[in-house]
Amino acid sequence: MVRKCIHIISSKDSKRAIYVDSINKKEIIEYLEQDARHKKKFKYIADIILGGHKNTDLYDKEDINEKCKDVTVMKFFKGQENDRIYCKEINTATGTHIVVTSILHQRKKNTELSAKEKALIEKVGGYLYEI
Amino acid sequence: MRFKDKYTISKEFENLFTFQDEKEELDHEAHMIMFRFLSEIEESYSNGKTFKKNELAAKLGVSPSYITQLFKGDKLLNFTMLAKIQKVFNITFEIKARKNDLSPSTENMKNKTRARNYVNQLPDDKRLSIVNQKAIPLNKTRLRAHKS
Repeated sequence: MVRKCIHIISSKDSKRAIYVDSINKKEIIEYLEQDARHKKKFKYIADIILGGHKNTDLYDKEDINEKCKDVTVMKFFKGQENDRIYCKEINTATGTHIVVTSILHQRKKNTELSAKEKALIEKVGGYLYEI
Repeated sequence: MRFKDKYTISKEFENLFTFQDEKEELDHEAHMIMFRFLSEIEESYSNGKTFKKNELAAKLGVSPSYITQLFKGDKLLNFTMLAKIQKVFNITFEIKARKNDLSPSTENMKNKTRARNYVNQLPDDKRLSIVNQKAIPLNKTRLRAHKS
């Protein structure tokens, strides 16, 4: 099934953009908007992605196997709540690099990925988006 | 710099990117400046492998948790630590300022236009030598004139 996603923010030259999965939009946006602390962290992550910077403590690849080569993760409060937003990276024909925030996963407990987390990541890996 | 000046934001998500006051805006900018330095270090020294923050901490003589706090944005890097990073890695960070009303692509276009204008005013032999090296693309009419 092809999923829909909604534009959140993009660079002025349209080379990089962040979208949100339309089905999970409510849950993801409510999570980000819940307080100033979450908004602040998301602003860092968005600015890092749109600026093309590297910071694996905040945003990293989650390509655990062949099924999820284009899955990435936004990391919120690593070492504390350890919340995650799993994302799918897409490169469009017009040259835009898009990060779709797909699934929210709160309170990741262990350093190692659990079976549930692996399943979530593979699920995002299988998502197809219509831009 | 405000998000809406830097990026295109969909109306319904504007609330996610606002700052309460100038202090918060400047604090965000300070973190972004730090992240650009840290990104440069992570890009340069990971070499396609996992970047070892423990090794960085050991080299700088600080605790691994301090390095993690910097990368998470929980602490700000100071200039003395930046100088230490330069010394430890034997590098020099290059700094360039540009006007915020010029996007990188606009600036790039301006540089290309400047280069093209410079080449176009050169004598024919010098201009052809540069064109043959494909160092600077000339405008099409000029290029066609030389080919004939």
